[in-house]
Amino acid sequence: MTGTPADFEAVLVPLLDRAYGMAYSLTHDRADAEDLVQEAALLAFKAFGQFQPGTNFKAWFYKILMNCFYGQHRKRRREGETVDLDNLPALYLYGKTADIGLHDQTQDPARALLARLDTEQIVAALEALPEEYRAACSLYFVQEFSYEEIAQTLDVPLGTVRSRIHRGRKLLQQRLWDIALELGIVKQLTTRASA
Amino acid sequence: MAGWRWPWSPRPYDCAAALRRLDDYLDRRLTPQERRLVEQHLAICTACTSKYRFETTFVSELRHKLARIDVPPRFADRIHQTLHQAGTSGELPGSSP
Repeated sequence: MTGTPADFEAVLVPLLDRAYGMAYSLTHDRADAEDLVQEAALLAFKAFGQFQPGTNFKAWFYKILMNCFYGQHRKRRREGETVDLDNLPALYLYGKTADIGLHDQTQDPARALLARLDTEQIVAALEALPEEYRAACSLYFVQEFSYEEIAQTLDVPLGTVRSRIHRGRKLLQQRLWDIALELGIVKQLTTRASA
Repeated sequence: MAGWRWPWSPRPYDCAAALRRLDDYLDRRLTPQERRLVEQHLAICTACTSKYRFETTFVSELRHKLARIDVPPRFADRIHQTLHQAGTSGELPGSSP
């Protein structure tokens, strides 16, 4: 297929806001996020002839965006990015919020905690995940992609997506709890619970 | 007759079986039968209901907050400009090998 620039923009523009959100959740840097979407848009524009009409343009575009991210990120990948995945506790935040008495104080402890964390802090928690978990979780949380779409975008089997989402969700809970501790949110909630 | 069930009925879930399916429940990956068995267990178990509700809220709150990432002003215009420049320099869609 060889579409016109107008054809390409007609399918791209509705995705741009979410694409920026995705890029920002991956990079946690506004300039890098803009550059990433711009680079992906340009590459997709040039390769639009290879896009098969009737297939999923969104998944095709995000695949290009992820490849751009991996290309950029590899240049400055953090060394020693390891995480202990074997000892990830299930229901981490549930247990922690129960330990501080939040469940006795409110019917909705998850909302009580997350209401005190803003979007920036959640993006910081996502950004702290190892690269493969961050990619899967960004597609899951920011784009609300299905497992099938994530598998297609990341070019990995469905079972790998499932495992990355499950483990990524646990890692994210640990990181968010650490952020809540650092910001004194846990202390405030504990004080309220014991008052 | 408490505890009686048709021989061909699936065994009801206990807490361990229900919690093993929590992630798949959240992501709508359960079969209709598994989902029904989870919901039957939740109807009689407040401890598991509390855990399921917590995790459901966790996912929905995170999605809600991440949908609010501010997009820079005139971002679409900048992308349009980039594509326009590529188009005028001969890099039309489909030009890439």
